[in-house]
Amino acid sequence: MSEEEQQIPPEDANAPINVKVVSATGDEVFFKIKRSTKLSKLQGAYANKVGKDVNSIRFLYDGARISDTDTPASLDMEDNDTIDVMVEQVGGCVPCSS
Amino acid sequence: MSEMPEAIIAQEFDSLPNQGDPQVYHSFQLYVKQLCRIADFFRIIEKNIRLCLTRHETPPSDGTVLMIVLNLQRVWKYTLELKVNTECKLFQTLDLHPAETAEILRSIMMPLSKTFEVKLHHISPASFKTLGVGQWLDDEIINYFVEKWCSKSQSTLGFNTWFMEMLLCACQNSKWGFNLGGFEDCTEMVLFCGGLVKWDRVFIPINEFNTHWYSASINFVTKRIEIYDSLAVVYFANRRRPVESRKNTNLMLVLMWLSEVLGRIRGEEVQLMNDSATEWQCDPHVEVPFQPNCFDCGVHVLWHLQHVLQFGTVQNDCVSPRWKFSSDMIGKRLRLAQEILDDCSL
Repeated sequence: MSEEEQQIPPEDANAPINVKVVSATGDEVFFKIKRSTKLSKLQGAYANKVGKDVNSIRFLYDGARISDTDTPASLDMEDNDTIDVMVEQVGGCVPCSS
Repeated sequence: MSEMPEAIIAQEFDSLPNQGDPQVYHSFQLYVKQLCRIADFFRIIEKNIRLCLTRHETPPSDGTVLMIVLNLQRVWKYTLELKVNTECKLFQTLDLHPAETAEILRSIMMPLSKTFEVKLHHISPASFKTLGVGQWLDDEIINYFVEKWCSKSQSTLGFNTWFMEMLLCACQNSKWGFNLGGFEDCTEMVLFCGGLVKWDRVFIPINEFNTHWYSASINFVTKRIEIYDSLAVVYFANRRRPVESRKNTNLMLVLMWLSEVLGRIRGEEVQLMNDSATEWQCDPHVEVPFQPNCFDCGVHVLWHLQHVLQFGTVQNDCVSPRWKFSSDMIGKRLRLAQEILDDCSL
């Protein structure tokens, strides 16, 4: 028994987790990803799926920007966690007519 | 060491760059960098001497060492003073000559090497170019400076530009009932706060319809919640209106709710929503310097932050060359672009 128990953690660490990517409008896309896979890969796949330039969207986990080198393991993500995806923001002024 | 610090520095340097110099901007930059280096140098010698002294069981009794330390401190302080004055002179010069400043800004934005992207991975060359003449700033630039300046300040919590968007979204979904999904409990908010560092001011940049930047601050010392908008039309249209029909009234309600939640995280009771006798004051339309153009609101927002960090609020009549707003923010754009380039040592 004790031998089996010891084998579980390494298996767990490699097991893929489900990640939900939610846009500001509430659209959801699900991904299955290994805990050691860089999230930049997921970002690229998402951008492809929704047909957007990956440079025009920002991925946030717990309110903080995900950087290209982050992985689910490095961010301590759990199964069924949510990644928020926001669109780039710009601003100069509101047109005076509106 | 009978010479005055002025004389010592003057020995090492040529005189201040003068206005007729065609490379005046670069001369100023070089001058300031050299002063920083010299100041660091004096500081290190002085620290080392003091460290050596503490290791001696019997310090020398004639006071020579003490004299040297004091002199080093004097030179160090004078060098820093000179650096600050030189910078102010540069900032003043930039504000006085917008056309020339625009030329310099264009020239420093041109050559962007590969190392730029590697060193600042969230700021792409495309984002960096939004600091250029007449461009609309993007979220990457605002977030870069909010994070950098606030974490350095230790006194001000800076939220990123998505915080308000997500919070307002949560509010709308709950029909202003303040039953805010993930934001209900403080733990989610603490994550946004980047942990429990001691801060007594909060700065929030806000993006509106992907066309406009403005900002809000919560000050737990002066007990004020303020919203800063660089658009004159918004200010003048709303100052006259009754409270309930002002543009920022709903936003102010959210900020009041937020202040209560953040107050709990700080470990102090803030009661605003149902307390008419509260000491807190809210100004949804503070009079701030206005932008005379259609592109500078993002720069204004970063300057609101500069003022919040420096003065705790936006000072409309600030005259210090370092902090004051100018009608054309081109000099500020150059300073911001230069700061990014310096940060990745380009």
